[in-house]
Amino acid sequence: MKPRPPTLRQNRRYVLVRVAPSYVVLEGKPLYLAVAEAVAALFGDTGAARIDQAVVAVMPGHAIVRCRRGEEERLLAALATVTAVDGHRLALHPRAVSGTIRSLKDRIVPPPEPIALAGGGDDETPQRVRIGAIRVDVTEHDYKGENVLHFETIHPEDR
Amino acid sequence: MRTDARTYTDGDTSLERMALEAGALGYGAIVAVDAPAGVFGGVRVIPGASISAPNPNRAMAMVRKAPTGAFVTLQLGEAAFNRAAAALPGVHALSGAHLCRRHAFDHITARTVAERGLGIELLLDPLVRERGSARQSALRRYADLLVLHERYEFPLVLGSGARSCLDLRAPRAAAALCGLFGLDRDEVEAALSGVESLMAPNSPVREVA
Repeated sequence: MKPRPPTLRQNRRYVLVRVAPSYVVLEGKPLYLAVAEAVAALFGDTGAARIDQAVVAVMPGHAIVRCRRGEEERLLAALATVTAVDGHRLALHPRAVSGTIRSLKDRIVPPPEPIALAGGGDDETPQRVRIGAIRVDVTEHDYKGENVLHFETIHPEDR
Repeated sequence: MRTDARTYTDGDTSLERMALEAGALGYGAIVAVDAPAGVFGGVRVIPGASISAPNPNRAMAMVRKAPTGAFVTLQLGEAAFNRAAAALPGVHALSGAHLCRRHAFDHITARTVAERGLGIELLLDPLVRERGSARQSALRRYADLLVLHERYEFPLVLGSGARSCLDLRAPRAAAALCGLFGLDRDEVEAALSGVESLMAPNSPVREVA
């Protein structure tokens, strides 16, 4: 198959999104399915075809989503309605829109490494993970055995 | 200063964390319902009072009990209630427009709201969380409100309705969501800055001593 000449190719825009919580390990396919579902739910099949969204890169704490040029706002609206991917609660916050993937990759700020705090992690004690200076995420199991997240900060006396 | 006009701290996120995450998204302040005032990481927390009442008299009593310095919002209801609610003193904004019946927020209420300098709160929560007919209904109500907003020019305020920091939405995402019902980017910025002006409305200079 011969590639099309550049002047006949579709113009695209790329959206850099920050994933929150940043330590959620995302894979391309579940994210693609979640974004496709959000776009189709908001704009229908016709709108989804016009937006022509796809996930082109997934990195720790970030992802790059593609769309047709001129459809960025619609894609941003759809991304704002994504609340879970593959069973993990998360949010996709738009950081930048560009015509090239390279310029977006230059803008990526690596998220802080989560540091496990002492104690916890078993079935009875919640696991506490420090993100950056004062953010603490607490994971515990509910009565169904599912993980429940709480978002807190380090106590002022412990800072 | 951009302000998220409605967050809750009864969910999975502490007040300080909610403020920090809002600050990371570009907000300078949040209204936190039933929370104390404070400043965390440079983000101001404005206490909020969200009032839902069966009749105007009960609403008036609840407004009087709202804490000093709180951003007071009153839940809209039937048409007669809404007309009375628009005239209640001590209320900063009316909320829940997406839950109202069609025409319950009519042009007379809109005119009263504009004359009294009240705001109308638009929540992003139904657009983010709902699917199908519930989201379509919210989009219709918001689009209908915009017709009255353009005619009477009452202020709008935007709130995420977040119970978790994962429910907060960045101003750019909020603008994209508001674009779904016809609010342009400048109007979104005005709505995000609306809480401050509603809490300190411009009034004629009074000689106090």
